[in-house]
Amino acid sequence: MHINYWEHATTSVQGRIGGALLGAVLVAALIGPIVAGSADLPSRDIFHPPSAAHPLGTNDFGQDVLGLLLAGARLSLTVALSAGLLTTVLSALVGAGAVMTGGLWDRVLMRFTDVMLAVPSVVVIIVIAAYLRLNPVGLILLIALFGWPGTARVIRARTLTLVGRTHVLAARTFGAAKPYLLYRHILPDLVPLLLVGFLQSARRAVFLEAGLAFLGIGDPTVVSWGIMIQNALRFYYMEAWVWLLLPPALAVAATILAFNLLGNSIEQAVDPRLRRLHTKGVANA
Amino acid sequence: MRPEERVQIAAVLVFIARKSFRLGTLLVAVCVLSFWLVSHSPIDPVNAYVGADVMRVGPEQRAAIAAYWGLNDPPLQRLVNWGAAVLRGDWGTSMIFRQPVIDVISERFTASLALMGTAWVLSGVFGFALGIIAGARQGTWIDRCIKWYCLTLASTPTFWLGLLLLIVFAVWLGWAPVGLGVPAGVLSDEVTFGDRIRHLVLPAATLSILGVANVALHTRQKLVDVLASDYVLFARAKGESEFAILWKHGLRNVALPAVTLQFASLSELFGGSILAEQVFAYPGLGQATVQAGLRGDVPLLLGAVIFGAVFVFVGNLLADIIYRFVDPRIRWGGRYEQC
Repeated sequence: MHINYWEHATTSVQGRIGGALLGAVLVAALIGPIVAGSADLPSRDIFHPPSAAHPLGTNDFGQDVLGLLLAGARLSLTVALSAGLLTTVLSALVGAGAVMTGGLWDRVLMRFTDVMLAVPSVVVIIVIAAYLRLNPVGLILLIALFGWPGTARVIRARTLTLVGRTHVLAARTFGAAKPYLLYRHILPDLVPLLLVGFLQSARRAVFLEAGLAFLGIGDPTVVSWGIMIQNALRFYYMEAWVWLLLPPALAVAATILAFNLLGNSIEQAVDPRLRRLHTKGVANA
Repeated sequence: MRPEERVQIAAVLVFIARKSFRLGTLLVAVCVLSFWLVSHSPIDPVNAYVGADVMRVGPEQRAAIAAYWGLNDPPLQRLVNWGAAVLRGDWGTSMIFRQPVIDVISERFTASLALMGTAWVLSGVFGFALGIIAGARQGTWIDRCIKWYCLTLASTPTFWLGLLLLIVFAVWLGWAPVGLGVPAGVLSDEVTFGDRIRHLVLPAATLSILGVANVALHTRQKLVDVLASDYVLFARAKGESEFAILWKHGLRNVALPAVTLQFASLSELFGGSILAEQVFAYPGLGQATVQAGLRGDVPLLLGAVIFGAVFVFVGNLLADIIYRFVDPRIRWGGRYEQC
């Protein structure tokens, strides 16, 4: 089943819009801090409406909103990509590992996955993060720690069907060892699934990072979209909320939408009947 | 008693036993984990206990407090002590509310339950309806509209939709109050039912609007599958009307997965309600949990975590039971399908 999912993702409407959005955020995160310089320094120019000097205005500390937005993009994408990657690796290790080791290990790993699936992850992450006062690295680890079970189940199911395929059986008859089978025959067919899992985990990470920062649980020393939104809420009675709230809020929504659309387009390419991975915690809470 | 009935009852008993065992292990795991977390927290328990009087307490007094609360005992001993107290019904006293934890949780949970229940029912009903419309009119503009609406909504963070509603309806239009579960400055006895409803509208709307997406997309896909099946083709060939097909074949086959999905989404709803409660300053359990975490209120935090775990477990259990009533193919004592 070697479908050219990449081509579908780059030609479908959803894939194109998602790719463009993600590309824009990526560029903003990469070159933003260079262009904007140290724009997050406080100044006396507070609540300045958008102007040539400050394209998105300034906030209550006189910080340039555009500068903060770009710095926030860096944090959001860092958390999204690393938490997404870590989650995917974990789920692949558990899912494919359970099938390849088989027997008792399979049962133990799947019971454990079931238990983890029953955990209300958003709530637990909020509580743990509130208690431990995590920095971004800790947050990434925490998100990955509670994000893998859903994808792991899907990957296990897929691996199980792949192991029974004739070409894998044929390779086994020729005496192929398990690592070779995994690497040569199973992993390539798991790639689209892993990619979808990665995009969904990344999307979740964006949401969680912004949500925690919004609740006041994030690392206060790092510029985050969530903190910007929380800050904007304090000034809802002023004109300033327009340029304080809308930029970070739209940025969060656009980033999440980008991951969502990309994931959907790849899913559709792999499975035209589109069984969405309706696993717990994948959707927005 | 007929043999089949006896088998049936035995199967139900096995089901109950298995679920109770699960709940037991879940609670033990949650307690041990929370306890471990608390004992590794950067918050000093003596400081947290003393609170504002921290400057007036000398080292001897601190030692006395630590000894009184058993803070010098080995961790395992403390875990057992605490567990025994919880089993006796003594959950401790919340430090930020100055009330027994049980009281705080029951009061807050009632408020949360009203919020979550409303959002749950509304999102379920509207999500199902939207999914049916989109699925029945697959490929048309209305289907595309609903699909994009859901995709975009699924990308909207709870808190920012909440903020949007808050600004538009509460600040600009002045239709709804800005946050809080009840009007400010009114004694709790004088709060009318109407007041509570008014304060519930915006947070419930936020959660419902977002909750629709998942059910709708899922229902749509299921219905599309059903309508493409052979038995629907046969029904069409017999000349049944589109409405009859939708009613007889569509709804029945689509309802079960939708109900299950809706129950399974309880934990997400719980997570979402924490954020929505924060935006609207709605005095629910989620808001109390965040406060407890931020301000180091250990007894309340532990109580809320345990309570949350039970709540989500019950949600999943209800889904399991309903599943078995609606679809007789799922056996009571049966093991879980191995995917």
